[in-house]
Amino acid sequence: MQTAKFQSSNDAGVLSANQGSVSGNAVASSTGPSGLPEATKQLAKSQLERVGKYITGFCAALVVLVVVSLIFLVAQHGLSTFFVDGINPIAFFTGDTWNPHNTGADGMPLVGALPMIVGSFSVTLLSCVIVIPFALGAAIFAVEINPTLGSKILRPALELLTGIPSVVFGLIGLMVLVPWVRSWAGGTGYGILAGSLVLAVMVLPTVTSLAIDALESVPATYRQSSYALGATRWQTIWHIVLRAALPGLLTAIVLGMARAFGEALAVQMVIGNAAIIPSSLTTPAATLTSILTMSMGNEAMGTVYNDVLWSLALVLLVMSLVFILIVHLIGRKSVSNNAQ
Amino acid sequence: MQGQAVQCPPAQAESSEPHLETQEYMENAGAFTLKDVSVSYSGETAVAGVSADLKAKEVTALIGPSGCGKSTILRCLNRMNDMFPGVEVGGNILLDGVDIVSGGIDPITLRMRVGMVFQQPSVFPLSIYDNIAYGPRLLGGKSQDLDELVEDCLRKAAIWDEVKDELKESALGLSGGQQQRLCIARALATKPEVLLMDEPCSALDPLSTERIEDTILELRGEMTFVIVTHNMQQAHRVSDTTLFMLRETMERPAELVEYGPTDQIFNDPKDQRTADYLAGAFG
Repeated sequence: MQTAKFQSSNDAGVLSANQGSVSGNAVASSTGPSGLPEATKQLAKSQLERVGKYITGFCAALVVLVVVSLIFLVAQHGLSTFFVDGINPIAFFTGDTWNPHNTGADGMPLVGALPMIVGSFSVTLLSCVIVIPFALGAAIFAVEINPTLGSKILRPALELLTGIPSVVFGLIGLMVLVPWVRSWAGGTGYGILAGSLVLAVMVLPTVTSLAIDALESVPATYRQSSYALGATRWQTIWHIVLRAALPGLLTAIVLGMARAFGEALAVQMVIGNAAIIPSSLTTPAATLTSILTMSMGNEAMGTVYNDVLWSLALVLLVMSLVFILIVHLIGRKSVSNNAQ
Repeated sequence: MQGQAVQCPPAQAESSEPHLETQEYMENAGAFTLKDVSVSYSGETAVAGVSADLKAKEVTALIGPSGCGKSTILRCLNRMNDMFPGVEVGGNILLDGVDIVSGGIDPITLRMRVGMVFQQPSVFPLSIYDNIAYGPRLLGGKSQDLDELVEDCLRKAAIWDEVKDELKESALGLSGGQQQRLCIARALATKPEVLLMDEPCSALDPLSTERIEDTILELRGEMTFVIVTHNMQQAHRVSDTTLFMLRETMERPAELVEYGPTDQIFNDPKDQRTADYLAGAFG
């Protein structure tokens, strides 16, 4: 809100915004003030202030409105699975059969989402396990070992990697990783492992960049004091730098997980999209996102199938809120530690 | 710790060990001899021709205007300059007869023997106890010995009574003055023979400053102190010997103008530049 207020007092910003809202009078309003008497100028200025306040306030309100209505919409559709269609939430969260067009023994559609929930958490956790050592190692190298190479080569490489569209990662996964997995694991090569590897590469730049920021924010005095006590570089990194940077490093990992959990396209291309609980890392599986993107276009609004897809979306939304909550809790804890 | 500055072959470090055992070492533990010491940053000489004796178990103050190389010389004494790329140290610095510049001792051992307290209180984001125990633990200290050591160090730094009930609390919760005394206690925990202090009181209020000066005066006789200070009254109050350094122009490196007993430097300086500086003519 601070920046919004600041911008509203910026004449140029207000004027241009004004021109946008009353486009017909744009010429008149931009030439007018210079020829007017002092009192009118003052009035015009205070009017500008007010208009600016309204415009920026409107923008802020719009953002909040979009977020709230988005949550409301997803929740409304997602919850109607349980309240309108009468699906038992337990059956949804623990059922292992996903076949919404058919009904089970109890006469209810088979909408067990457990395979996708398991799939989503598996690829997220596995990709994190893969990515953490590499991200941490790269960040330590870039900050502690060789800052020159870190800023000249690693940083630009990370920025480039962040900008690559996810479909490109998916394509590479499809053409390289899936055949590679197939070559030694047999089967089709699609599955959790291929999905996790693709996600790991996608998440790597995010986690590494944030980890670099976290390590860089550790005061140089900590390192100096540690060296001055006779610590080696590795003792300093291990006992002091990593420890001091822990909140930032955890945030990096959680944000990486959030991204992995929500990624749809690249995963969908390599995971196999079989809505069954995976028996191994190299057999086809599915995630919440992959089933959503595969099915959403094919089901009519208001059907049970459609509602259940919304429920999957609701699970995704809630999980992303949980990830953000975790990041905030970490941030608050580290702030209160420092403020003590 | 870029390693380019001063090379130290480990083989030579071992040769210094027998020396530690001799009686002579025990008697003058912590005496520095500087012979024609110079320091250059990326090829540009910042300090040159510093020769002085820093006596064991005494307090030596380095004074002079900003940029005169006091801190640079101080950081040579525990090889903290190694941390900065492009720094080269010339001449000889002998710690109890062993040259630390040419690699007579490895920097890790040296820094255990020559502790350092910085300008800004820089406690680790750990508990008070863990801050003190950090140095000894690097050597593999036992936990029951540690309790005693922690108490001993905190007492010496005159902060035990204030923190004895909150040893497990974060050290970041202490005030600036307490943090600086904790830093002193932390430096004492590796049982150093020398304690270097780089303007230890410049970030502190007068009361905290006084307590730190009291600590220095109490511990004098147990170990050698080398203190860089902007505060000439402080140098006068705590030091036995004073070194006055000056960089007259940026074209020439800083030099040691004169050094001697503190009373003589302050009351009867031999060099006119020292007299001018002490009279407040510049700097």
